[in-house]
Amino acid sequence: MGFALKFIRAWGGLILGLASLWVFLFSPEKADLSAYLAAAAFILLVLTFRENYRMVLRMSGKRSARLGINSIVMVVLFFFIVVLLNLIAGRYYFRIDLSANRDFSISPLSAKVLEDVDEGLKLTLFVKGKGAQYRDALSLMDSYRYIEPRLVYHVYDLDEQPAIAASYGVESYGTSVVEFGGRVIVAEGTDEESLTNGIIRASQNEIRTVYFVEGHGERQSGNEGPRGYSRAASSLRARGFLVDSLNLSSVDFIPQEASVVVVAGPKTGYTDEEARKVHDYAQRGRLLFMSDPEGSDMFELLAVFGLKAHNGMVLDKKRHMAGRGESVPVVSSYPDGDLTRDFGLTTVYPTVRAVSGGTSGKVYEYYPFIRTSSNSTIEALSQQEALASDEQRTRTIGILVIDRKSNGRVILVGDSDFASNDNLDISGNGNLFRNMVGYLSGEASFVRIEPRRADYVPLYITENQAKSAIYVFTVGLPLMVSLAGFIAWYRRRGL
Amino acid sequence: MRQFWPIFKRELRAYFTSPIFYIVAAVFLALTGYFYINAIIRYSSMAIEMSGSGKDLSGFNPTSVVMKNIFNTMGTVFILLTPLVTMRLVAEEKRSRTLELLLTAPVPLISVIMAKYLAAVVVYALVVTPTLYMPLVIEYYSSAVWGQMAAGYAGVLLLGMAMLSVGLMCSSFTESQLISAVLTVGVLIIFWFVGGVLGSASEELTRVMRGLSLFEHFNSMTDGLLDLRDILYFIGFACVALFISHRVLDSLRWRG
Repeated sequence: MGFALKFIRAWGGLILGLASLWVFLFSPEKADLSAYLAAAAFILLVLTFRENYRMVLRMSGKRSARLGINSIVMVVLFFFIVVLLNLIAGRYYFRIDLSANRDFSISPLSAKVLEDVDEGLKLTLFVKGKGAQYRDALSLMDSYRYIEPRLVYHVYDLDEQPAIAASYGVESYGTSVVEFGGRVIVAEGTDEESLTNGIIRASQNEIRTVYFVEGHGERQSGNEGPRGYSRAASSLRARGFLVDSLNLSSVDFIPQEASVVVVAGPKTGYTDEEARKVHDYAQRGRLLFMSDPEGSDMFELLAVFGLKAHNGMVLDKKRHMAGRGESVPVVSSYPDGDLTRDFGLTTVYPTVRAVSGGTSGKVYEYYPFIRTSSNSTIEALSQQEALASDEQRTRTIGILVIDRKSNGRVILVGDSDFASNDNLDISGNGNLFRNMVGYLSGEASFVRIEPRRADYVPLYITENQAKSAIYVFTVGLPLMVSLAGFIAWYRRRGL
Repeated sequence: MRQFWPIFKRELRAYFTSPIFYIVAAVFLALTGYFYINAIIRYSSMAIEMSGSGKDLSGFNPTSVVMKNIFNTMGTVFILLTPLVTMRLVAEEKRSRTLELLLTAPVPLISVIMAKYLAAVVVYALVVTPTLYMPLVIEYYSSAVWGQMAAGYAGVLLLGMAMLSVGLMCSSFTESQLISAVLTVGVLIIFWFVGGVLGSASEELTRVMRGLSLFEHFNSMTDGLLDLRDILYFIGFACVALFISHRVLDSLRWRG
């Protein structure tokens, strides 16, 4: 082969190999391209290596400084060829998960979701530090990429990349961002369930709209003041919702595309016409009512659902926020239901009224899901109000009602302060608000992925068994080996 | 191939008739045995404490808790023991001037290197084999996850092969066994910990460092994952080190 061709072969292989390495490092989602470049480079460089190696062998009887340099070049070339082989394997490989807890496999549900997603999925995870959480996130991303090689992912230490986190509005560790088809979804959690549900949300064509009703002194989604709901609205937008305001007096009916309608702490009552529009909507939609002790009790809206917002303010003598008094109850445990399953965060309610529903029957089912401690009383806010209750018992401050016929769902909470700009970030307030809206919008239909865990396997060893094991395995076995060595040495000495 | 076997058998005989093999085996078995029994006792105590606590114990099993740590211990211990196995492979021959005989004999250099290397691998496998009592004890008193055990032992074997190739390479650089041992430990420590010094490294650099790290590839195998990329890494690692050894020894021929 002519020198020119050899030159082209060698340099062509090198350039292709470097290109493959570049793609692998900076565009790992283009694993196919990287592998093809690596394969082409591998073939060219193996041929180059083989020919140069024969030349080296032929020259090896001669002393030559050039031979030393050639050997170094051969070593570098060989190393590069091994790297190329690994780059090819980076795309075309198999793996078998033999772990007890199936730590390296994602669920069939997640695999199906990934397979249904076209090219263009990007996941960004924000974790704390570069320790166990970072490694777990990388391992999970590796498992996702095994199913979808075109997946683009980044795992960042939130503290090291604050600018990137801020661009997504991410402020907490353990947050994921899913980008697909122009949509950006921020999911709480970096586990498989959070990511898969985020991908589902991002890939859905249906856009869910949340309307905040205004016109009666409600908290407004555009209000950035302490009392406003702008941050709650932003957090909903980050989860893929469209958020808008709605004045019932200016529309004939609540828009078709409304997934959830939020009535956040009205100060005055609704007219009959407005109440009719809300009730018509309830036949097909979902409602979130929040009523403050000092605001309207929304009787005209709630009565048709069998719901009631009681007068007065709940005082929780046992569980309340330190430094803010009994009028700020704190709730840490919730019943196990679709709305609050695995929700273990504490929520805080700065002044809240008690709520109640009817008895579950043929039409409606009632599920109280936020309840104060058993040391709770009700204090009247004014002398005009109905008698307060000194009886110490659990008070319901959040209730869900489901219409059995239409499957409509309504949530009533006795406080709207908890999700205002001032209080949204207190403990689990924001999470609960988002969960309620998410639940009403149909997120309960998203996948639930149980963490795979092998069964607990006990192992009990008695003291005598432990002692025997120490003597046998820590002392006896090494002694036997040492004895064998001694015998071997003695026999050799005897020779 | 014919020339391979005599050298291979000679190397094996040299190991079995020298105290090094038995000292390495005894120390390794004593250390790992000690850690193993302590881990079993600790697991047993934790099992008793936690079984009445009402906590969720799923995922708590001896294979994931005990053997995973023992595999990591084996890897760490072998960073220090590998040089003892490999330091004499070439350095001793250089010092005693028998290497010239070997290099001038009509024996392909590759056969010499592979014979020495594989003899070291056999010795390593013989040192590790007695530790099979560990999964058997777990199976006897409890229940072992044999798939994860198999993946772990495959990782131990591949890691050993990679480490031994480094030892052979360093032994070929010098005629001093001490320098060979120190070099081996140094190189192994660098490749063992390189993936852990991530700090504020960029994503690309992190990917490179994790890709080069012996520990990262070994760790996923001891967790129960058999991944072709990890297997290829160890084989490639050993091949590069052996090739360097080949080049170094070949250079002795033409340098004189």
